[in-house]
Amino acid sequence: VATGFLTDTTVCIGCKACEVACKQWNQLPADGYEFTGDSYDNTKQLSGTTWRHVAFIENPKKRRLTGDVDLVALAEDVTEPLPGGAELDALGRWAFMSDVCKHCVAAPCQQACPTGSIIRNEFDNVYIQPDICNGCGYCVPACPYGVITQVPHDGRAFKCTLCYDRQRGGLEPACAKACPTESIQFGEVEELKAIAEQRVQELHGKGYSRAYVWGTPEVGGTGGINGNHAKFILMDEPETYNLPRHPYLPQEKVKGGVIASAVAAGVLSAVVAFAFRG
Amino acid sequence: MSLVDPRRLWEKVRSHIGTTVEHPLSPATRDLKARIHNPGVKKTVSVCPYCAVGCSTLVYHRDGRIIDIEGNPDSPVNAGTLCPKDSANFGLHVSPYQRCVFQILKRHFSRYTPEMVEKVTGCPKEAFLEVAKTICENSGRERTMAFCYAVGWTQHSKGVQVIRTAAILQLLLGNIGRPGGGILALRGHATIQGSTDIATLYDILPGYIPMPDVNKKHHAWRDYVENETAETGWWNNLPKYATSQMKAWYGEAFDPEEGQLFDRFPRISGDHSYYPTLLDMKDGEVKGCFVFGQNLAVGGPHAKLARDALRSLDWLVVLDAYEIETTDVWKLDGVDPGECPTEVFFIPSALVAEKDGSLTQTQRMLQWHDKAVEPPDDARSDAWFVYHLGRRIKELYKETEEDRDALIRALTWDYPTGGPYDEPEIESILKEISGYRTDTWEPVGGFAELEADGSTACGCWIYSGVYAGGVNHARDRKPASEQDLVASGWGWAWPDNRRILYNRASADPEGKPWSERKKYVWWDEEQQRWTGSQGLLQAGQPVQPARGPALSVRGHDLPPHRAPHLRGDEPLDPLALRAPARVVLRDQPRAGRREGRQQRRLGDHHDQPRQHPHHRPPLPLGTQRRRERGRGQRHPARRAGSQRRHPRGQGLHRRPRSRSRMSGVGHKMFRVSKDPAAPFEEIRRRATEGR
Repeated sequence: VATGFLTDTTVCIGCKACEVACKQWNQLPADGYEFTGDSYDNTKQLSGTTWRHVAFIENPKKRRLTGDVDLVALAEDVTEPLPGGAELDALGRWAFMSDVCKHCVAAPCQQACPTGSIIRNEFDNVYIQPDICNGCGYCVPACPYGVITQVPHDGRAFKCTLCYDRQRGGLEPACAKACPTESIQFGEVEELKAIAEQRVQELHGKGYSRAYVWGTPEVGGTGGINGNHAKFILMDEPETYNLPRHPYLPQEKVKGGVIASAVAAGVLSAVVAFAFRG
Repeated sequence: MSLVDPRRLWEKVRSHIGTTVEHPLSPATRDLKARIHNPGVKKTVSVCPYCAVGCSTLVYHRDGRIIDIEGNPDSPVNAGTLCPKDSANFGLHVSPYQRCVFQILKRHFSRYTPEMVEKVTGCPKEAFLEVAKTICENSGRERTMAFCYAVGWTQHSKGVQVIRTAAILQLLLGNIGRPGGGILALRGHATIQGSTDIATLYDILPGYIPMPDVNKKHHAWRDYVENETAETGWWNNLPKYATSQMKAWYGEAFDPEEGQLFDRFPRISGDHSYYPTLLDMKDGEVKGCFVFGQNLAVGGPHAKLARDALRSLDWLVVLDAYEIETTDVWKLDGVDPGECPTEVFFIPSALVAEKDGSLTQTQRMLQWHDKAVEPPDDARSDAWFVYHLGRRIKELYKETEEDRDALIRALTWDYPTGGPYDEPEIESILKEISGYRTDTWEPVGGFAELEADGSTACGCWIYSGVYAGGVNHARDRKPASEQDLVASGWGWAWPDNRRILYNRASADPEGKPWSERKKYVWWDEEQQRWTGSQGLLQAGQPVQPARGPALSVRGHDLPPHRAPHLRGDEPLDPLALRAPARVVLRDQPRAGRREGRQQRRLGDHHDQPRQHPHHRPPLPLGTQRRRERGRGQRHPARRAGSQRRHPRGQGLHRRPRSRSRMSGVGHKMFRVSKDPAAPFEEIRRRATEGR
């Protein structure tokens, strides 16, 4: 059976318990306390030492309120026209998204890995075997989401294992266990898919008409990736959350590159042959 | 058969571009399991203490070591979830990066290995270990150990750090406040402890009361007192001591409430210590100098500078029993006496057996000495000279109405005199130092009786009580055989005749002596009071805990100790950019100096035209980088061989400046060279020739 995550960003409170729990269980080193200067989030991004990252999407659009605004209505619903005819040229709020490895159905990192270190394990998760990885780093540019990096001073690439060790013992991953709002849910992919659709319907019923599931073969699982085992319920454009709408496998670009090179080689050969003819 | 089987190759290639090939599991992957499922792991139900919610947690541990902490799914409160605070609880328990002071110190000192000692200091490892072993074997409950240092530490370029290190070591080893422990300075100057207590230093008044400073908020008496009074600790009493001091000096003229007279009190305006004062003499900014009990011309570092400085004065008064080099500077070093502008007065002074007085030794003990015979011929005591000088000055200023002379007019200078030469009575000075009540003139019993309302006068609060009861306790001479271990009846030690400071530490936290052999003070259960030898903490004295500045560490660590500034490398901190050693500049910031002075340094004196044949130029002190140089900027790479430039040597290379400025200081400068290494070549050449 395939297992995965469903991360419901609509209930995420940005507490970063998942980040901390992940670091504790996997014994990952700290990344330093650095203030980015443009966000309250100081983790910045996923990396070889940060396998969960709660992204703070602050002020996704520049917002300015004019007129007599009902703030309660504003808090409850950000997309509908405001009562009382208040004019709203742009609306703002914070969004949180606990980012993680997407565990692609057809994982580009695995296809790029020349050593056979990256495997699909019995839970159909993408897993880097650290004792095989030789630190070549091919997986790093292959990942369309920027999840994997090499760890400095070690050289090897690391990423979310979906707590492979815990799953073997029948335990849920550390982040999902810690999450106080159940924004992160762990389970079988098919079940999660049903839960996600049900949740989106529920949100639509409440008027949040922009809610959708990201990570399906239609959105966020396109380009040969065929969907992700880690899905997200989003309320805005994927780009707002720094996620690609249409990720693709790196080899998608190979065919065009090879053809262009072949054409260029042919043309150059012809030119040379012409120049040195007879 | 070809070496490469095309079919196998294709399979290989195919395996790398698709997902159809199942890669084998590695051994580690095969054996992977959650560490909390390892055999022998125990589970303890605990609770998160970090807020009022009370999330239940599961602590997994094996062999006494915690291996994981996570939420308890059975809990009705948190159902297995945790917030980031308790999610981090595991790391909090096991982190190697704990930031408590002990951990910081542990990391800090881990680099100071015996091998590093040998590398840095040149002291053989075996010798170091022998000293360390001796120190440790003689510290503990039954034994104590004292550091007794002389000028080898005091005058070391890093003396402060060395002595401070010894203090830390003594605290760690439990050698403070116990008989036989402590750190004892055995400096070589005449009554040097007493001179420091009664303030020969420019930045303190007697009793370590801060000297008023133009750069601090010391505009008026209230400003001064409020700014210098500590919030906690014994220095909270500063107003009592400062007021009593002013009353001792100026009597009725000083109003303890408003303190108008304080407006006329001199302020320091910068560094007026030994070197800067010599440099100021040389610059003609100090016109005259009194020299008591010191031989500047040979006694201090850079004696050549001292002689040049003394020869730049208008007048020089030297009090000594014999003619010394300082009295003879006008004819030393081949100087033509006709060229020396300094008028030198030599005042023959009395020696110790020819005058009354006291000496304070390293244990802070005052011992009185009585005059045995009158001094010969014209010789007089230093006190006689100062008293009569003051008396004559007061006489000169008696008629003046100028406000600026108020201090001289107000000065209490009414010591009784006697004997064939009108010697002032030294005991009357001691009485003033010890303190008295301004209404009854009765001597006070100690500094605890001093008040800030002007009802008491005291010349030096730490010495208060030496004249308690009208008895000169510095003259106490109870033989050692007739009294206790610390001989409290011989002489008098400040404060309050306590022979061992911080003596509460001679008993454990419960008040029991650490050992029978070394007991000093202890808590008497029957009488419910502290008891023991003399010199106890006085009952009823509120001892507020002093509050020091918070420990401020950048990142996780303390900065390592750095090598002296002339060393080429810093083995303990290879990345260090600046040595912390003090640099004596010629232009300390101070008020009233003419602006725009260029920096000149001690090294400037190296190219004096005449040099003693045995003169070896001291190494340059100029190590301060120019201010405009960015902090953290690295020196350019070193040069090889003889061209190698000292990595700290930038200081002597100075900007080319305009010719008019150059002429102001003239030949006393290094020539400005395009090659920054040139001054060092110059020094090296001189050093070689001088030798």
